[in-house]
Amino acid sequence: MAAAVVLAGCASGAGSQPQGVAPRGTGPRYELGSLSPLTRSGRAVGDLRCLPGRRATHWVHVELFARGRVMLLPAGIGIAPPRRHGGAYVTGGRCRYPVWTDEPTGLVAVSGVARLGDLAAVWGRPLGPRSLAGFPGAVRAHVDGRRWLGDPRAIPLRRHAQIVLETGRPYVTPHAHYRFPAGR
Amino acid sequence: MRRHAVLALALVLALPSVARADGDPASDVLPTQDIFFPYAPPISAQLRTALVRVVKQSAGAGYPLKVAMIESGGDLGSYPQMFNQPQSYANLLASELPTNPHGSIRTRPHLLVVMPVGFGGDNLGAKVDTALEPVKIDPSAQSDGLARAAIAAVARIATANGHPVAVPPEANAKLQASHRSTKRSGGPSVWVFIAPLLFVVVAIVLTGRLVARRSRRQKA
Repeated sequence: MAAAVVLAGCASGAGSQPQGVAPRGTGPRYELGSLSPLTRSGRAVGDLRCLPGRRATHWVHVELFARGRVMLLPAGIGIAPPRRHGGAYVTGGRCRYPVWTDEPTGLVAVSGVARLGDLAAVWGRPLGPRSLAGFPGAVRAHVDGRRWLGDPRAIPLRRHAQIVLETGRPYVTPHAHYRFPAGR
Repeated sequence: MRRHAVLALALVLALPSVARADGDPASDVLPTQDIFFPYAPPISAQLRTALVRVVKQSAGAGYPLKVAMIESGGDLGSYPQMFNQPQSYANLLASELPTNPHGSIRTRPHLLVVMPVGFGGDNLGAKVDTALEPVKIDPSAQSDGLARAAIAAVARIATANGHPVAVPPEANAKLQASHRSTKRSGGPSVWVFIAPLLFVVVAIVLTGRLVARRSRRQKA
């Protein structure tokens, strides 16, 4: 048994913030829903089909920033209704596309081979060199801390990739690493 | 000039504090729910239910709390270096949680962080140290150890702040080391050693039978 360490005053001090901490964007431009008209009804999105019983082969982490503010990837992208919810999580649904999110943390489950453009397509939000989920402007992409110079849609969703997309100033220092939880 | 400065300062103070993120999962989950559970190993159903219940009781008694349980660096995403630094992480998390009067968190939240080495927190009142003094964390029980300590801590902190909540019996439950199958550090399964041995034995038996059958045929 370890003795509990007692709180040292409990002072709230943002003090020295680690890098990659930015204000959370609020309002309808930042707080986007998880479903598109196609995924709401479980219809195919291009070649991407919604299948029951689909399992993740690996996970990636994706962070989005627009004009220096965080845009959260909502839970439930790529999971067709009727869905089961548990607090902040979407724990199940009728079927899943090859990319989906169970939680609002940026963790993206991938089944097989996929690219970032597939995630945007399933989410139903525009993504390109000059557009990020409704925000116009040049998109800066980083993968594992390295600048990606091509079309962001072509970024491969490889196992444990840490992907950061930003548009508009002020730019946030991108996280180069993400510690994935056990089993993901 | 001075008037402008005073006005600007007043304006800054009047603005709601800006929520910050991103990179640590708890900051994304806690705006929507009151407890962040560690990913692995999962907390047992009994302790999970008891913790949810005591947090609800605390809120019902007038002391809403947010609780983040961090069992490993994998629960901290981009900030694994903050593992087992509960107060540093509590400071960060407190700055990340929104205080939106129209959102789920209406005032500066009472925040409790539980890690294997101890507690961290924000806005938990002047008597928090005394309240938590008798609460022990059993790190060998992993996530269940954190949950059991959190159950006692929530009840005791609420009570210390003038909102009496009884400590549930689950806070004294006997714990076992958490589920082996989810341990990352656990060694390889015993079948890794047994399987090759079995294969060799089966191969020897089959070869022996084959040889015996051939020699019988030759004799015949």
